[in-house]
Amino acid sequence: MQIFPCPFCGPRDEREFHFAGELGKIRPETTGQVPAQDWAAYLHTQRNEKGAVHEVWIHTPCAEMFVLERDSVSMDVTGARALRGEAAP
Amino acid sequence: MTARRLPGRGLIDRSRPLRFRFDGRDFSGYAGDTLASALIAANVRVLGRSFKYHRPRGLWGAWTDDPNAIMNVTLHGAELPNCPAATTYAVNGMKARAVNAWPTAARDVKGVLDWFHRWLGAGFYYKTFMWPDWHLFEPSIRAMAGLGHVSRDVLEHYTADRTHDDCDLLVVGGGAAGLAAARAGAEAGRAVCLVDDQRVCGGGVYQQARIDGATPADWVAAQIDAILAAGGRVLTETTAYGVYDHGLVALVQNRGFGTAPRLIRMRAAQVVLATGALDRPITFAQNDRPGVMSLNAACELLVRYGVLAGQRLALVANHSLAAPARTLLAEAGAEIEIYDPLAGPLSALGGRVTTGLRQNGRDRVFDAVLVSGGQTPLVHLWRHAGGKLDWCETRQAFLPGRAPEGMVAVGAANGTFDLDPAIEAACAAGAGRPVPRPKTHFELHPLAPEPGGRQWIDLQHDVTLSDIALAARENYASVEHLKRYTTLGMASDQGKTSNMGGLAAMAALQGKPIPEIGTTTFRPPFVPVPLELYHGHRRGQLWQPVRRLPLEAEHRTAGAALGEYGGWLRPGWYGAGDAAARIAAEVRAARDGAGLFDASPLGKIEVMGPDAQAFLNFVYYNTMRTLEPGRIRYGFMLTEGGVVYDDGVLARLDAQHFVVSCSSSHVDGVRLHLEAWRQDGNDPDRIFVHDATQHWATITVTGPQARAIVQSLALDLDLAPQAFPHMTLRQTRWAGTDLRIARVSFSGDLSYEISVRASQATALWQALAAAGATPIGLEALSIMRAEKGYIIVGKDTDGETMPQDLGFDAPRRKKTTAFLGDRSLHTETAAMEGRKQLVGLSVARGKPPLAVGAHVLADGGPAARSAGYVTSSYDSPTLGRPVALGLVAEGRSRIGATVRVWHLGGVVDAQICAACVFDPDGGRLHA
Amino acid sequence: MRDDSARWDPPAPLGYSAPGLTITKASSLRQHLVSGVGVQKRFEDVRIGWPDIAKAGPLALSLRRDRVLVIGDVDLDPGFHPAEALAVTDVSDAFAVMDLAGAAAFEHLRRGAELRLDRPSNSVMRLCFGIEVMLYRFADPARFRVHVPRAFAAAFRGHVTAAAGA
Repeated sequence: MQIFPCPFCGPRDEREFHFAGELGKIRPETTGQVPAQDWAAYLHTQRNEKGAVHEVWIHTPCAEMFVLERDSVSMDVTGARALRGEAAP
Repeated sequence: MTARRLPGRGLIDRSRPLRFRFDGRDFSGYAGDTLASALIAANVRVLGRSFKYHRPRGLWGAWTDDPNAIMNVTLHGAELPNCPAATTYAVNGMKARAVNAWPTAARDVKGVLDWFHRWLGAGFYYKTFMWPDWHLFEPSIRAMAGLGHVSRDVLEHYTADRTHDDCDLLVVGGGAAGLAAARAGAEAGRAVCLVDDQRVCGGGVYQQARIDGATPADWVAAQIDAILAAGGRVLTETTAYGVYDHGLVALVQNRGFGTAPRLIRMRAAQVVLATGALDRPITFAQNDRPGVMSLNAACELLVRYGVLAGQRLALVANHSLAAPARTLLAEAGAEIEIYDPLAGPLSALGGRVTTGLRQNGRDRVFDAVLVSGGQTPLVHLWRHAGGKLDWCETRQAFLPGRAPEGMVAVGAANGTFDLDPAIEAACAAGAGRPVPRPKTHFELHPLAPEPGGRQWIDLQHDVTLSDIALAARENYASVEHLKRYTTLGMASDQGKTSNMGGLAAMAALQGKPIPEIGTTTFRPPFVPVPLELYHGHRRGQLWQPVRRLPLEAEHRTAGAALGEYGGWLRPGWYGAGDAAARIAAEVRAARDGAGLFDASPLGKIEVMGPDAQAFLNFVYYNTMRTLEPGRIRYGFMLTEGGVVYDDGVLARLDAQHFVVSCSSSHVDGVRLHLEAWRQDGNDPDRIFVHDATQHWATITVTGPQARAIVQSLALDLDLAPQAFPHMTLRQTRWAGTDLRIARVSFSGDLSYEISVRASQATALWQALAAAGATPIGLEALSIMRAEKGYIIVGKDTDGETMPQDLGFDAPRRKKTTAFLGDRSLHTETAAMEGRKQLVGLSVARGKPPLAVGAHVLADGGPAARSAGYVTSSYDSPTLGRPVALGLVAEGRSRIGATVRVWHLGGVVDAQICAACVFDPDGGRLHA
Repeated sequence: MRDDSARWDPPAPLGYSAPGLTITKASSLRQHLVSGVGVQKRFEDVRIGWPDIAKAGPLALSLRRDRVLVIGDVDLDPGFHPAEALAVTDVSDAFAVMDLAGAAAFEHLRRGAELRLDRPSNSVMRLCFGIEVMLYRFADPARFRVHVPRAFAAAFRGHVTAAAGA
């Protein structure tokens, strides 16, 4: 069972966390024309990288969304930061 | 003279004798004995039978490495299957029976299977039972296979204890190295936990004459005292059976026979592995006979249990650790003859049990043949943690190589078989200093198996050298293929004794070095653990607890039939007897007078802040920015894929304060959904989401008499339709407490949804009931909403349903601002013809209701094809005929068409109609 | 559609007493969710995280970056306050509050979560026995106060007591 560091609460075990998505998915501006390929890529294309990954997770008890940097092979956690970069108080 | 108990030796408590039965015979032993040690002391040779050929099996190892002596054990009426006799401590009154043998291990009738071994080699089943169909043979083969039998009796109170723990330093193994490491760690101020799987710590240290000038027992006691004095912990009968991510080590702690063990999820900053090493078998002809035993087992039997394995002993070994073992056994009174396995092919003599050994044509009589073909370090946990292994040519063994994070190996587990350097390295590891692998004095002459006779590799699963050769010939040469083809290492000991022999044999057959062959994957658990360990107290009502309503006591008093609906325990209907009649009566009471319904689980998620309006306009499909304070609007939330995720109403309390009333089973999901979009893509400093669902109880009064009922509360509120119309919300007070009253309806009749603090709900419920409202359950409401064509998301929609399929097309066409799922509503799929649309399905009065899930058949074509299916179906008490909703391809353009509906082979006719079949003009709704 | 009334016992009262563990229901508290930028600072003097020991009197349980649960009086009405940029919601009846005290209280709670007194946290929010609760110490180092969503209060008590008996 992994330990993830919530930027606000500190280290907690993985049962408290939920994967939200890969970092860097920008929602297309849908009031304009969005080509079908772009929308499909936004919905479905995952990088699914081996090794160092940057992901968005949510710490469900405190609802903090944050960026988790980890290694998808070794399961090492290499960093975590609040989605907007705030430090814990 | 044969195996016997020696006076005065061992760690057993001779003041506490005990008696037990094995295969119907009585035996005695002492507290501290295992079943195996007590049986060997009584010179019982055959303790079990092998899995496949039912060959007689004796004891090979004295602890977790024994694959042979497996028993069903009963104590005080509790029977546990497949207990390894070598690790099961004997208890007075136990009844043990060898598994896979009948009537006894000594006289097993299926022993005749061995006569046919020539035809039963590896892959026999795969090759033989292919034609005509494996499934014809499977039942009888399954019946023959397997080990112990599971008792039909439920073990009451057999509940595992499961907990979490942590430490700075976890030391696995309480032998000399482990004790030294734990002591050094504790004295260095670290929070240390030492675990050892035996009842008495010390590992193999009792085979030493003296250690640091003390007797082994005194030395062990001194180490434990020092560990405890420095604040460390020592857990005995506790096995570290798996290592998981981020320093988590699973420990199983024995709590006595018949009591379910304890699972400790230990989070350790550092782990010192001092797990020791096992004796490796040597393959020679008939090496599976009872009486062929590991050298270490004979030594442990002597020093721990005071049992001499035999008077005349052959010692077959190829390395330097045999000499001190010989001295130990000789001083205990055994006559020992040394055999060099390299001097010529060996063959065990005897029938059912070993009576001697043959080498180079010379036969000698022995009580037991003690074998050690080298040392196999126990690196299982090292591999679980992702550590690498290096092949050591000197030791002919895989040793810990590149270390996993936070783990270090010491002692025999690290290939340090000499005591003093092992303790030195362990002290360094315990204190957190680096641990170079000490030089070894260990000497070993490599052995390669030579064909000749039947030579056993896997004692439990009957894998022989010729099976390995067969696998190699048939190109199952990779170790992972070899394992699965021959079942090598798949026995209950998971190859602790057999894997290295198998690898060595495969390497020799292919003329490759062993490291090129590699090892199979080491996976938890290191020892078998009962499934109960993963279960614990989470059973019965605590398996998946339901959410409880504030009004549950009221409902029970009213005779409610409670059931689980969306995670909540809710009234389905009220009163005993014919449920359908009760439900129909509730519908009629609500349609004719007033029904009283507990809607408390409905979501009450508050969204506040300067951007709340724009945010809600984005997360809802429907336009919400035009919603005025005091008003309510129905809407969908979609996924980004455009699929309907939830429906519900949104109420606006004031300019920057909204309440999302999502459906009852979606509250947690919607809250997370809102929170995710709040933080990702919006400014979370300008939007706040507070889930107040459980602060409120919500009681709905519905029916033509609803206004009169609510009137009886004497609220300071004008209830007239024009003053308080449909889809508006009012806040008021009653009996000193706040009320929120929403005029929304799921029944199609005039309804007031009244929310009150949960602690005040009982008084309000009672007041409304006293005013004449009839309690109705969820089943009645489900019928009423179906009469109106109101959907339940997830029941009347599926994973493809978009809002236009439900008749809500306007926002898709007209909403100008961005909203969740918007682009997905304009894909090729979304615009496709033939989408399944929500419609009503009517059948003639007097016919039974359609079955939910029944398929609407497509027209034309020779083969039946589904054009959709029934999602909701009821007998309508209001209309006196069945009503149904369904998702049907192009359904809305086919209103009035007659379709065939298929269910379990039968076909009935139905007519497609509008989803709403009750009060289509909404006169009752707006009353 | 079936009657499962007999399958689910009526919720047991929250009180419990065994050697090493007593559970008592705390009397009804005024509880308000207060969210907003800087809310942690605003309530700094009475803010409680893990494993802080709260004293009687007004408290602000730190829940998340921008949210506290205020126990006791709040000088703001429920709703959104543009001037202070604070959102306030009365949740007094949303959480049942119980105290677990006794020599074994921590040991029993530990069956439900990886709890460590030597690992402080900014937040009292926890997943314990699979239920999202607020957990902190109250008045005494060995007395643990838990706010449990009302609908799961009996289940939480059931988990603690069943695991303690296992």
